[in-house]
Amino acid sequence: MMRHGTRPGWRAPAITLLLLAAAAPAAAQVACPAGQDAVSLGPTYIDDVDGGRALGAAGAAVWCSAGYDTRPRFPRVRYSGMQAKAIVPFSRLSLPQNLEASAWIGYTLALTERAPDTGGLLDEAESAFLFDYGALAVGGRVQYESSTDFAEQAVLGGIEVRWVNPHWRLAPSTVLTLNAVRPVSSETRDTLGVDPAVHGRLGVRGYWLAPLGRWLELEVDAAYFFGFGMDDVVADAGLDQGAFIATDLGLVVDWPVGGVRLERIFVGYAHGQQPTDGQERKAWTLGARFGTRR
Amino acid sequence: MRNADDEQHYFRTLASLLQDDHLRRRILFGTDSWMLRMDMTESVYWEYYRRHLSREDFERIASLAPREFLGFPGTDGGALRPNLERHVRYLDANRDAFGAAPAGWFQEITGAVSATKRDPADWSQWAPAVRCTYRMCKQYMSSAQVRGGYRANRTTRLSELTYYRPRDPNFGLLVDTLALNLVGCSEDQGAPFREQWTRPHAVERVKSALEDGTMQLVELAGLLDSIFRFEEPLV
Repeated sequence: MMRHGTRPGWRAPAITLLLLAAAAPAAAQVACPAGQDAVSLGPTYIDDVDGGRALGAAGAAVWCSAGYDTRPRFPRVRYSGMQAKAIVPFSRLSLPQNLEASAWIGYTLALTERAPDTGGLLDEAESAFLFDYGALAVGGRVQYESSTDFAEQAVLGGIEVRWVNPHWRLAPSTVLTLNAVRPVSSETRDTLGVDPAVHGRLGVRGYWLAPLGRWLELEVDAAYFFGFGMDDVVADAGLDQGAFIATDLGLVVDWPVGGVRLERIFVGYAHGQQPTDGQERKAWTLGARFGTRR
Repeated sequence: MRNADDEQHYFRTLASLLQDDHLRRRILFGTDSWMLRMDMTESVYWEYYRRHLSREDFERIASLAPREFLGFPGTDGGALRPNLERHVRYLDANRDAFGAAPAGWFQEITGAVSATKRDPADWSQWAPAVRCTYRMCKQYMSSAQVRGGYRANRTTRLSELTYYRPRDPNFGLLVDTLALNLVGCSEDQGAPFREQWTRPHAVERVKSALEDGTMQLVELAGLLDSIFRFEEPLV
């Protein structure tokens, strides 16, 4: 990891993390986290691995609301939430991203219309849907981040569009993301003479899952990202654009092994570059998945 | 029984009554068992009597006497009693209206052969919870599962349906969609929520089950039945 900082400790990685925050791959669906609303506060011991140690407090507050609309035509969910997280050392100690506040809103729309139940034997019943084109989601998130001493501050924003229809085998489950970072203040950037302009990344990801007969299934996960407005130092590191593809051929089984069940044996090949890695890499994988099914 | 003397007295008296030709035809096992279910299960009750009665006496009160009481012929043959004959005639005349296979004794007496299999009580296709579960999930079944028919899919696990692809970055959307339609279908039936359930709680509980994937379809129907007060609840 490159260092640009002027202070010891985590200062330089903090900048790197802020830069990469815009480069993160498709995030989880903008929705409510498990547990939803929660407030937590507790003592914390902090070690910055560079000799700095301090006692502090860590706190978080999450509020999230989901509105479920089950109407027959285009049932939908609206998610909106806010979250604040902070780790505050009781003595002076620089930490990366130790203060965060974010807000998000998202909609999931089922592209379906339920048909009324006309009775009759289930095996002879017509489709329960007048149409079914899968599901669509749009979401957005804004986030403010700051270091403890407010020397490094940034605002992040991102939007995403998702669509999936498992009935159309050739159509990928799709994620489009656009994330951007606007540094508000940065002593490190000022020292380096780096322009605090908005920089961001556009990402597209496609996922296919195709059964091959009864026992085999093929998974393909492909992604491409493109950065804009990035600092030269980031672009030179190869983090401005790249592609990635991972394929996985799995044998679906259901064999008891002791107290668990062997569910899947797979062989996979991955090639390409993740947005947070400037290098192209390739790898073969061979593995098995176990479950605790009843 | 808590008192051993009472127990001995009870079974000694019962055994002597069962020696009487007239009385033993009128002693039927289990007629007050519903009261005792507050204290014990049927199997405990059954085993208790089997242990304390001779095999012949137990057979008499648990099988022969009830058969006779209902109007079936005895072990030495004979005809149905008039009350049961009338019942058989009625059933035979309305055979097509049963909606399920007739009992074995009826088929034996009338020679009726039914291709219909009885639906399990917790997977009756006429129960709204089952209909919603099957109709909403059917679109995520493989062609082989659909060919198997509704009865065969009673024990299909959620993880065996095509929506269950947890490595899909949009798995959450699929779960949302199916949960909304399962709860929405139940609401379409006009069923109100049971006490302490609201729509958000219901959708989130169903989502949790869909994400987990270990539940069988019959259990999912049971979950809907526990959330909604359907006009025709599951047994």
